[in-house]
Amino acid sequence: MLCEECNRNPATVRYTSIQNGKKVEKSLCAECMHANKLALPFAFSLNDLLAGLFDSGKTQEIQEASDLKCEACGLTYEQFRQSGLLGCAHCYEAFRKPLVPILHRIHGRVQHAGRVPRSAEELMQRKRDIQQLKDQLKEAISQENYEKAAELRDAIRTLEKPAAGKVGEADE
Amino acid sequence: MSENEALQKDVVISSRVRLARNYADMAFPPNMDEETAKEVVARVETALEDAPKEEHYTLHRVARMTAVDRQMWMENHLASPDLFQRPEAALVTNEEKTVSIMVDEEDHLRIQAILPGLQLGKAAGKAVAADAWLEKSATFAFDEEWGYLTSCPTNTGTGMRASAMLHLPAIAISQQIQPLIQAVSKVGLTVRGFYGEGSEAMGDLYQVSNQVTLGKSEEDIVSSVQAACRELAERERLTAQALCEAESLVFEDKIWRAYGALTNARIIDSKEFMTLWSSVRLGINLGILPASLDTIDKLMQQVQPAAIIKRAGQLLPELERSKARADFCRSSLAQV
Repeated sequence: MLCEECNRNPATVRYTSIQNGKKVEKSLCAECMHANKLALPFAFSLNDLLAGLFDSGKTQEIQEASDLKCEACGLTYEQFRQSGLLGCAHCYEAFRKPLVPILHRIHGRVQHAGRVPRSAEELMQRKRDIQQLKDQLKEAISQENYEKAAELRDAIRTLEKPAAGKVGEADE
Repeated sequence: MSENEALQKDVVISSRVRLARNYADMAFPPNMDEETAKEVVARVETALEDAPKEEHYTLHRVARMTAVDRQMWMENHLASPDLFQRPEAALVTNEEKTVSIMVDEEDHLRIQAILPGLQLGKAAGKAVAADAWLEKSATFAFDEEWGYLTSCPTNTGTGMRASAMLHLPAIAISQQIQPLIQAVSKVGLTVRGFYGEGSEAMGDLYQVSNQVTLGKSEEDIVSSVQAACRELAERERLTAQALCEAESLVFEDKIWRAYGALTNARIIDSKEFMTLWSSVRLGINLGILPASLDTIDKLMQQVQPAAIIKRAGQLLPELERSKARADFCRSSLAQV
């Protein structure tokens, strides 16, 4: 089939547009598609697409999110919505709630499964250790083994002390 | 099996892996002031002391680069145009130019390893090794649930983009690029023209890369891109063979004409070069033309604008560049 625009080159793209509320379909060659600057999906910038992703939630949620602001760098959610870029590591915390569906739409999942930096690895290990001790503490108390419980409580306190900061603030 | 065959160099030009990293306690580049930008570079300078000595890493400041140098880094795929938006930014490279670290681009650090042919696993290993020494003196922005935190949420997680540059002339001639793009996107990967805009791909060069960075391990990302490239390379070979058999005279004529122009023309602009280069490269792969694959692959780098200017030792107007390009093509292909 030939391009319906130039009637010269073979048509390679099926182009659908809405004109005056009517669906218009055309078969075009790449050249005419380009020359007419017809809107192709890849003509959108990534940020436009991201902005689109942000808006597909419920109205109330969007309203709630647009009032958010990152205290660390001052970036507002509205600014993020426009640029598609976060301002600092803390923004991920400040915008956590609206970011969950966004990350989900981009990646399909929201649980990291890759490498972990050394600093965070130690911290995560410590967290796991504390949780384990806490479980043991619960058990010791339920068995009325108060001597062991006291030992466990001290051990938990020692572990918790250097971990006062969150990931990212460690080693500082 | 020769090295070229093992690395699938007939179809796969190069493999790249990049990791995005940010310091936890500083504003990200799109949101930071000049002072912070300078401090990021200072931190990298300190971290360089932990880099393996045998790699001979060097830090190049954007402010001290000439326009030709900047162009050269881009032509060699070691830096992106965005890096040069900020005079405080810097580029770190190892001696063999297989690893580069863009400092103050979209993220504080963009660690990248690039190798010829299909060797994404090895490239990933090199990038991860650089990540390890950079991490020694730093705390990177990281979240237990979301992984490495980046300026753009499309990079969050591993911060990893694994990509390969593929030469797909036969698939392009037979109009199979569009269905291929659709097929590949179904497995979480993307294909796009490497040079040129939109759907146009100069030299029939396409880049295949992962789209998803969160929820997949680095190994999974690398192996899925690697597997897709293998599959595409095989498809390209079969298509080239089929075209060759079905329209052998027309096909051979096209290839010899391109070779004729590349070895005889007196003026060749970059766009024409890429078209001729693609046909000649296909001709070499099919055993129609006498030149070697290594020669034609090197030629592409050697006739890029900045490479020509570097060789000439002075800025040249476009027409002079096109003449120098044609001269270089003739002498380079005459040697074989």
